[in-house]
Amino acid sequence: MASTLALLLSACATDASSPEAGVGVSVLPSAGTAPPTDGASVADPHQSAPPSDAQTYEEVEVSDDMTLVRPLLWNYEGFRVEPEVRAPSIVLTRADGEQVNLRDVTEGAYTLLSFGYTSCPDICPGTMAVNASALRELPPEIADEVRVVFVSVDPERDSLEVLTAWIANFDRDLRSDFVALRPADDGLAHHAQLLMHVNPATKEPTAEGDYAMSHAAYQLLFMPDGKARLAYPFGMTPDQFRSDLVSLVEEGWDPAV
Amino acid sequence: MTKSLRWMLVVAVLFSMTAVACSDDEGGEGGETEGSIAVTEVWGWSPTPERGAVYFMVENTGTEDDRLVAASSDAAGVVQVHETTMADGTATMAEVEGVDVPAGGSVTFEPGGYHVMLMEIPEVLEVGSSIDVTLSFEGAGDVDVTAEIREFTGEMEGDGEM
Repeated sequence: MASTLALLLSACATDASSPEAGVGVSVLPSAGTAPPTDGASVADPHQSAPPSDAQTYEEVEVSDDMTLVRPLLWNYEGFRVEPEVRAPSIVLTRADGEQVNLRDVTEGAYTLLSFGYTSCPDICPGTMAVNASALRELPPEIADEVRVVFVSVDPERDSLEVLTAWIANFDRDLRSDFVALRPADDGLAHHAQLLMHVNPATKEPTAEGDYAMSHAAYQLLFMPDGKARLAYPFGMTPDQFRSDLVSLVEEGWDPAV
Repeated sequence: MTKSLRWMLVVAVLFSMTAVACSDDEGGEGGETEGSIAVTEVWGWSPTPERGAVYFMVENTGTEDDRLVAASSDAAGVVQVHETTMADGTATMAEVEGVDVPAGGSVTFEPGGYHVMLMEIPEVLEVGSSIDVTLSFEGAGDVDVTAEIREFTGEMEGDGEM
């Protein structure tokens, strides 16, 4: 299924998939490739890539029904979601016990949505920490237009209590709470992902008789009209989020360069 | 955002990156060298009171391949070496039995890749505090390093790997 096409069209001398990353982590060229600089003391290749005018075309087929595309000339740091997708109208339980419709929480704001689980070692907490970091330094009038939604793919271990405690590690100093949602069971979690064209998470048994979840490591960004048009792979920096969020809130969705 | 604004931002970020790179050069940041194995850029974070991860760079300056086979620390009840791998936007995490560090090569432990996972942390790891971690290599033996607990801002990665 993974007919992944990744073309490097530019003169990106400083490919961010650094020599160190040669140790089998990076499967695809990275998203945030640094622009060529005039030979000054550029930081380590594994340092963060700055927001840049997109120079690298990338196309990643993340599921049978969704491809993330980073066009060559492009106004955003994020990838374009093709085809754009809406959240299904299904009911999940918010960490505080309230029943909410997933479609409702992905409308009316710029909504960053990710799937994950609270026992996740670094991708899920890292994603939330970067979101918090991005929001913390946005002007309030921009930050107020942004919502963060985390959907558990591990309802078995992520009880409402666990979710409440976990999400509070990230949003406690922010103006608005992150929304942590719990599907009633694995089946509903699976369904929610499929309906958003996301490959459903799977359980991977560990040596201790426990399990880890293999899951999507990107966030979808829903526009206020409820359509996800941008996606952000894990590893995007707060600067990159801020750049896109400011541009979206101030100028609206405008994919043309 | 206008083009010029965008480029000002790029310049600003490049400046800050340079600053980070310089500070990295000056000290090993809790690093240690044992024989031909050098461990530098050591840091950790603890997103939740019970869990944390430690990251670093291992360099093998010798002529023999080596292998990280275990990690331990008094700061956590369970310490494991994990690897998160990404393929087509999906992340999978697994405990690994060892991490090869080839002669003349280096391996970076970083979010979204290899990490030393801390579980069952008895005492909350505050930002700014430090913990001792012992990394055991097949050839070089034990290397003791100190990891400063930091805020995870994502600024140090940003590869956007899929």
